[in-house]
Amino acid sequence: MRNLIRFVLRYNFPILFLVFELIAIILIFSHNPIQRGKLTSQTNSFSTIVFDKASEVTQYIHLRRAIDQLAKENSLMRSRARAVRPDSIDSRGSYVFIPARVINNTVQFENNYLTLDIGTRSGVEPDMAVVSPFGIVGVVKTVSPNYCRVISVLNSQLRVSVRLSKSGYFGSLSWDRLNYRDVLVTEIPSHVSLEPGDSIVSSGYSSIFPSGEPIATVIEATPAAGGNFLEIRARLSTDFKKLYTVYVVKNTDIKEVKELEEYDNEK
Amino acid sequence: MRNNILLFSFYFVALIFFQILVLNNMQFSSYLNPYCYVLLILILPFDTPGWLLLSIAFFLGMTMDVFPQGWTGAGASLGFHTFATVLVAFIRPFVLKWINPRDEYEIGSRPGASDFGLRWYLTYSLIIVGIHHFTLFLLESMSFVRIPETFLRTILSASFTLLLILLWEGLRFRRN
Repeated sequence: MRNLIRFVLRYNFPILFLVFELIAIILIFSHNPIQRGKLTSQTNSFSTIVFDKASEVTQYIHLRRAIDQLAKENSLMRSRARAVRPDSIDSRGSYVFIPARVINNTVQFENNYLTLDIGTRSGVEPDMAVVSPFGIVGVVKTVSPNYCRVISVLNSQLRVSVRLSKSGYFGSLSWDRLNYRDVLVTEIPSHVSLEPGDSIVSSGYSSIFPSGEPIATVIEATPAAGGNFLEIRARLSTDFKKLYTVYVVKNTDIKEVKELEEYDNEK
Repeated sequence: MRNNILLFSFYFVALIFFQILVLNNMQFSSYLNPYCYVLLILILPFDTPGWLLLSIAFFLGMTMDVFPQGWTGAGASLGFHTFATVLVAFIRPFVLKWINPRDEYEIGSRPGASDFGLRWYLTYSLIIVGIHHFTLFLLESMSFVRIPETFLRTILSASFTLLLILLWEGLRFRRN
């Protein structure tokens, strides 16, 4: 015992080093969130308060761009309102749009996240879609009473089911981390013909994103390895560096859809 | 001694806030992510005991890991900064011994360009910052396949970090 203590004291530097690195490695490889208890909410709320205050300051700097964005959104809304005829069936009827402010956002990492200033008090729940006036942004991951964290489309963990709006073929969209403007669409059969500029919209299959929400436009398509499918490079319609106001999309019917699917699967 | 504790606590907080609120928000490109907070490890006094050096590095890395995202946030990226920072804290004494300028380091003083020259300081920070950034980006990419990309990210980001570190050192130099 005494020898052990002497050993530890003598080699405290390398031993402490190994202990710390071991803790770091455990943290890296445990993808499960640690300790959802007290510490979680405290650390979270402290850092979110800091980001909230910081965004209040930076907002003034970005005011000009925010105004531009709102103006663009206004015109978009107006054109949409004109397109809706009173007698047409509103297929987006079950979706409710809750406005939110982006208080923290990254685009430069491998897995990017956003923080919004609304939470459970405003009716936000995990797995809800987040869209900007120009296209989809991500999916809500965790929610606290006043804030929520969103997995950005610029995150290798997120895949979105998409549709080519011209031909109607379905595919899968993911981020290949090359730059924050471009994404990759796969699983589109190679016989489909498309041109640069064709628009890619959400398929609505996941019941998370409303169907037909704009996502990206085609830049170029190359045959993927194997030859049966295309690999499409596309430009996101949302500029993630200029994101100020977004909408959290609540599908009021999602419970019913999920219950029906589960019921049918069990039979 | 007590002065030092106050001074370095201030550096700690200032560097964390500068890193998270300014540098992390720059977003030039995914190849340019400077991590200036490692400066704290560089400038700790020569006679800092090993356990304290490692503990400060651990605490610094943990703060960088946890602060921007919380415990539950991005579970996948917890621990990267901790690993890289503790690693460079561990090799710091060996680097100092290796590039020792002729005689012993004076007790109570700390690494700086004013005492040992710009070239010495540049070599010293280049080794520490380079290893720190490379480890961090390698862990982040989680693969050895994209090594060239990781090298490019390291070179670009570390250059930027070094620039900031030298700028800071220059300011300190002039003040003295």
